[in-house]
Amino acid sequence: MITVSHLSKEFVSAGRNVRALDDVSLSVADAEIHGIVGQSGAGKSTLVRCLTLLETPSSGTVEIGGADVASLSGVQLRQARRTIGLVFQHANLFDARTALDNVAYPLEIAGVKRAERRARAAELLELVGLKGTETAYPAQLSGGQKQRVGIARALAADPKVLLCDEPTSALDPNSTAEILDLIRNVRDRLGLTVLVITHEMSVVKTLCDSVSLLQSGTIVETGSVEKVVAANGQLTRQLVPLPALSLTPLRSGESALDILAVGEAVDRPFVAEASRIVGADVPVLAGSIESLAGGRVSRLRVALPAGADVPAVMAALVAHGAKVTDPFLTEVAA
Amino acid sequence: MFASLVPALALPAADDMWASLKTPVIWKAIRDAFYETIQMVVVSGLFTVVIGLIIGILLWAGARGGILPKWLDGIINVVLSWIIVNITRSIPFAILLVALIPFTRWLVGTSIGPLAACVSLTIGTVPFFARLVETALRDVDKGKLDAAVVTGSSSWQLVFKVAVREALPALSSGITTTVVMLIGYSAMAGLMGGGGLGYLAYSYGYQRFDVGVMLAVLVIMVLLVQIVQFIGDRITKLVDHR
Ligand SMILES: Nc1ncnc2c1ncn2[C@@H]1O[C@H](COP(=O)(O)OP(=O)(O)OP(=O)(O)O)[C@@H](O)[C@H]1O
Ligand SMILES: [Mg+2]
Repeated sequence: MITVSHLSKEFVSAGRNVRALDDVSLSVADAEIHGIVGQSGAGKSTLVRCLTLLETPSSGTVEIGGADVASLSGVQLRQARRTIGLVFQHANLFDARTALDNVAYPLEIAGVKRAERRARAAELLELVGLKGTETAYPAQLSGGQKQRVGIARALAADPKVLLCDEPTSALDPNSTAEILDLIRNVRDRLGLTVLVITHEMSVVKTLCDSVSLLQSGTIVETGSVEKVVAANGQLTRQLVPLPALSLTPLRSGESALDILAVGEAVDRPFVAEASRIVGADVPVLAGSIESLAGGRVSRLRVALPAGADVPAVMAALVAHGAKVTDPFLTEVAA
Repeated sequence: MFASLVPALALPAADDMWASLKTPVIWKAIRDAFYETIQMVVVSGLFTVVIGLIIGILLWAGARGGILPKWLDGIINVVLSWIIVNITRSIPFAILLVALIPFTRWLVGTSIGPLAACVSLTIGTVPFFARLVETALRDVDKGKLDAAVVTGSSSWQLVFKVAVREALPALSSGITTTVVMLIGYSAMAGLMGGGGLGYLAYSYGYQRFDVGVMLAVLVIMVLLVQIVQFIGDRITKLVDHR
C-alpha cells in the first residue's frame, strides 16, 4: 500500500525555483500495478525519488506499508528503504560485481551470511529467468538481462513495494514485453504493490491496473484503467489513439464527432444511428478498437455533412451509451 | 645509508666513455643506489596511497554531501580542498623540497638519506594523488550510488562497498601514475640529500662528466618506469570488469 498525500517538491538551483511536484496525492492498493504517465519533465522521476527519499520532499507525507517514510532518518530510514525495491531505466548495476553479487548486495549490507545470501540471490536469478548467468559481469549481459538482474536485486530484501522508473525505455520491443511480463509475474507471485513510471502507453495497456497522468507536477487524471478510459479525457486519447496519418481532412461545412464506446457499447451501430438522424451516409474518418483492462474500447471519428443537426446526433449517440465530443473543440481546450 | 656517495677512486682517463662501468665498484654503487630509490618509492608510495585515499574520499564525500555530517562538508571544502590540496599542488616540487627541510629534520631527526626524502616525497605527491582519487570517485555513475542508497546502504557501505569498488580501475591507474611520478621525484629528492639513482646520475654525469654511468642509470630508470607501468596496467585490467 502506497499513500502519498499533498506531496510537493521544489528545487532551488542557481536562484531559480522549479516546482517539480505540486500537491500530489495518490494511493495505490496492495498488489496493484499503478502506472504514472506524463511528458518529459512532468516530475515522474522526482516522484519516485521522493518515494525512496533520494530527494527530501518539500512538504507532504509518503506512507509505504503504513509508515511515513518522509519523517525518518538515519538507521530507521535505511531500514524503511529495504521495504522498497527500485528498478531504474538503466539497471544501474554495479560493474565490479557479478550478477549474483549484484543481487546479493542488499542482503550483504543487511548482514545476511554469505552462504545464505548467495543461495537467495541464486533463487532470485532463477525467478527472473537468468539461471546460469551467476558469474557473468554486467558488461557481459544484454540490456534486457541487465534489467532482469536489476529487478532481482530490487527484490532481494523482500520489499513490499516495487518502484520502477521507466524500466523498459532503454529496451527493444521484445525485451520490453519480457520485462513487463516479468513484473506482472513477480506481482502475482509475491503480492507486491508496484508503481511503474513510463511514457509509453503500451506499458499502461499491457501492465497496469490503474494509472495517473502527471502534468507539470500535478496529477490531472487518476483511477483504474477502465475508469480513466471511460472518462474520455487526455489519457483516453493517448490510450486509444486514432491512427493520425489516415485522418481524412474535413471538407468545408462538415463537422467531426469523436465517438467513444467502452465495453458492450462497442457493438452498437453508432454510425448507422448517426446516418439515420442526419438522413445521409456518415463517413468514418478514422477509428480504432483496443483491448484494454479486460474489455474493449472503440473510438470512431465521423464526419457530419454541412447543415446536420449536430446536437441531435450527439444526444442520440449518448443515449446509446457513447461518449461524444467534438475533437477540434476538445483539442483546443486540452 | 647514503651508500651512493661517490666512491673515492681514481678514474681512468675520459677517452673511454665506458671505462668506469668496467669496475665492480661502480656496479655496487649502482646497486646500492637502486635499492635506495626503491626504498624511497615504496615507502613514500605506501604513505601517499594511504593518506591520499583518505583525503580523496573525504574530498569526494564533502563535495557530494549527505555522506558526512553537514558541518564537516563545509570544513572539508575549505581546509582540505583549498588550503591543503590546491595550495600544495601549485608549489613546484623542487621548492617544496627545500621548504620542507626543517620539518623533515623535526619529524625524523635528519634531512639526509632516503627515509628523510620520503617525507617530502609523500607531502609532494599526496595532493596530486588525492585529486586523482576524488576524480575517480566522482566518475562513478550517480545511478549506481542511488541504487546503493535505496537498498539501505550506510555511508560507510556506500563509500567502500560501492564507490571505491566501482572506481577501482581508475584508482589502480591513478596509483600507477603516482608511482611513476614518485620515481621521477625521487631522483630530484636524491639531489637534495636523498641519495638513490638520481644522485648517482647527477654526481657522475654532471659533476664528473662520466657519461657512461649516467647512461647506465638512465637505462635503469627507464626500465623501472616501464616495469611499474606494465604491472600497473595489468592490475588495472584485472580489476576492470566494464
Ligand atoms: N536535482 C534537480 N535540481 C533542479 N531541478 C530538478 C532536479 N531534478 C529535477 N528537476 C526538475 O524537475 C522537473 C521534473 O523532472 P523529472 O526528472 O522528475 O521529470 P520526468 O517526468 O522524470 O522526465 P523524463 O521523462 O524526462 O525522465 C524538471 O523541470 C527538472 O528540470
Ligand atoms: Mg525521468
